[in-house]
Amino acid sequence: MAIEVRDVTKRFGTFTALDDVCLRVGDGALTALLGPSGSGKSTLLRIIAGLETPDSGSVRIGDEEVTSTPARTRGVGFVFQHYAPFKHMTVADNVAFGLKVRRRPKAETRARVQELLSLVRLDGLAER
Amino acid sequence: MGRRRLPSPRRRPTSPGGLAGRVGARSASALGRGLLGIYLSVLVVLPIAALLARSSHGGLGAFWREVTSPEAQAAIKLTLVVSAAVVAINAVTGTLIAWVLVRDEFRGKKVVNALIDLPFALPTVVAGVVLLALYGKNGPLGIDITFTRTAVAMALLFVTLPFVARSVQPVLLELDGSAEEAAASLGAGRLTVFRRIVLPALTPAIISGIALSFARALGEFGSVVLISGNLPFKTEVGSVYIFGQIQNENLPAAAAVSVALMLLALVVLAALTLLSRSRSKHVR
Amino acid sequence: MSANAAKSPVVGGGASAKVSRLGLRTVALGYLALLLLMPLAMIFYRTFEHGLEPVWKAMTEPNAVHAFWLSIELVAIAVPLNTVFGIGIALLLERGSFRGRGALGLVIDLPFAISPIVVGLALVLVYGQAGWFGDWLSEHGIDVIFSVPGMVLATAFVSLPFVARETIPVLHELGTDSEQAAATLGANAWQTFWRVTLPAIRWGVVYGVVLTTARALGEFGAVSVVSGRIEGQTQQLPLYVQDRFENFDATGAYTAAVVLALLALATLLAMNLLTRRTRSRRAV
Repeated sequence: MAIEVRDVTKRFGTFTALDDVCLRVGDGALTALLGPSGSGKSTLLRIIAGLETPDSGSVRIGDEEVTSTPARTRGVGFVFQHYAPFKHMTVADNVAFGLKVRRRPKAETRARVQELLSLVRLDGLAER
Repeated sequence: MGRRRLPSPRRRPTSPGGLAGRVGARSASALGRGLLGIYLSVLVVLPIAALLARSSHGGLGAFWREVTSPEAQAAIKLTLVVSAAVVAINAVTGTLIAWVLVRDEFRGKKVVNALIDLPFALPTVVAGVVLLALYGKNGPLGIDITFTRTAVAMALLFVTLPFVARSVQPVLLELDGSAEEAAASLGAGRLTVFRRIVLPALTPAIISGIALSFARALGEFGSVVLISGNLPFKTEVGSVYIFGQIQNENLPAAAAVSVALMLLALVVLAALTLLSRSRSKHVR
Repeated sequence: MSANAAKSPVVGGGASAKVSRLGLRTVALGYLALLLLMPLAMIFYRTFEHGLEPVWKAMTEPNAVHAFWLSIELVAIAVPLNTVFGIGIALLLERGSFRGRGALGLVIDLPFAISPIVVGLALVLVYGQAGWFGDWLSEHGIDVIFSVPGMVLATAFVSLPFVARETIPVLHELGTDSEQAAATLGANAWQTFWRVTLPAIRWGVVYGVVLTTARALGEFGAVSVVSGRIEGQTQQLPLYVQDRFENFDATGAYTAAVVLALLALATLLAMNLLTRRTRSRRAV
């Protein structure tokens, strides 16, 4: 699914983080944003994920206009700068969170968590 | 194989709102705020408003008359004087206790540290009874402080014990000894080191502890009411006077003196805040 | 040489430093003994001095039993209310966006600044017969003052701030990252609160609940004003202590006091154990 950002502007008070930004990431592409501190990289990513709303402009994912869709239904995976783990939960519960919140059956959740942990070779640490 | 540390985070600007800032949650949040508003109004805001309204009911003249009646004056004066004395004592003993808890090591220190909070946890009326058991009639020491101002002071010392100590403790813990050691190596004696290096660093915490102690002492009731005998003009403190007026259904007098005490507390706290601010300018 | 010993600069020889350290320790511990420990020990002694039987009789006295259960009832209502609303206040201040933060902060600090007697008076001025709602309440046959609902209000007022004040710094430190991560993973506001926020702040909340409970159990002045102290009906444990004391029933008073003191010590224990868990720096 392609991501398209059009004419996005975002201000925080008097500080303009993004000024009329346009970006298109093609389906299946891997894109890196490079820039100095304060250039608006995080802000743009947060707008794409739905954690911020732009003051003007639009965001499309696939064919859908998602600018005002909240993060929880937008379906964008987001990794935080400091990982934002759920510290009071085990590794397995951290991985399972997205599924639990959608009330997937326990067996399905368990299997999927196991699969993902094996993928990154963390299966021994599931209960930590 | 070292891991490179991520640079320390600069707080990026983000929109506020967190949990409550999303569309679906907005109505729930409005309901929650509404409930909270009702709870706080019913519980706190309305009663305080009623208090202020009643105390100003008859205008400034009536207020002044109630506040300056002989018995009220005596009670207010006693409260102020004893509270000030108690707070001054606490400044010293609280700092001392904090010092010993932080800088000294001895068996049972952890227990003593926990016990400092006893006056917070113990009901005030029990504090009064407890002091009477030892220092009242039939006490084993042969002292009887009931019906004296000493009793009032002791009760207030009991209930305000933790404030200065707990305020100073964390500051003392954070103090690293290098400034003191430098002073010592330059020839300063222990007392000088304390007076010129440690004390200035502790002063804001001490003042903050004093402020809390004072506010608490001004309004204290439970520990004083049994032990002091509540003799008007002798051992009757402000809160007891107010209680008496309520019992006599003299609500205007009670409200007026209540507000007077609150204003006095406010003035003293404001003065202490200013003092603390000017102090911290010096320390820099 | 322990790290602490290294902190205090030793000047002028080990012996004199040791003497002054012992001296300070003695004064501090002596002060605590005279003010806290000995009176507390005395009351335990006096209560059990004539054996367990008089104590048992005092504890099973109908008014005593009623007072005990009334205390439990008041706690059972006030503490959950203040816990829920306390968390709500903390969320509002740390995660919400609204004007009037200062006002909200003031409201939750008020119970610390006001004398309990004044709290009672303020409640009477709204809900009492001559109060703002007095007529409306009697028309509808609702008794607030001189009855249990009034006591609930008084108990809730004085124990209001603790959960909020303990939760706010913990919420602050937690930051919004994990909550936003939960959002990107599809959690709605309630799920985020229940699964991510609340577990992360739970120790702050628990500590606040412990303080709230201790305060609610021990409240004396405010309930004294609003309850009318009708024995067997509107006396909770602290009021019962006073009642027994004024009726020269030393054993009865001491027994109830000892029960409250034991609950206070249990509170201290809980506070101490909980401090070991990761909590933000405590503000007194």
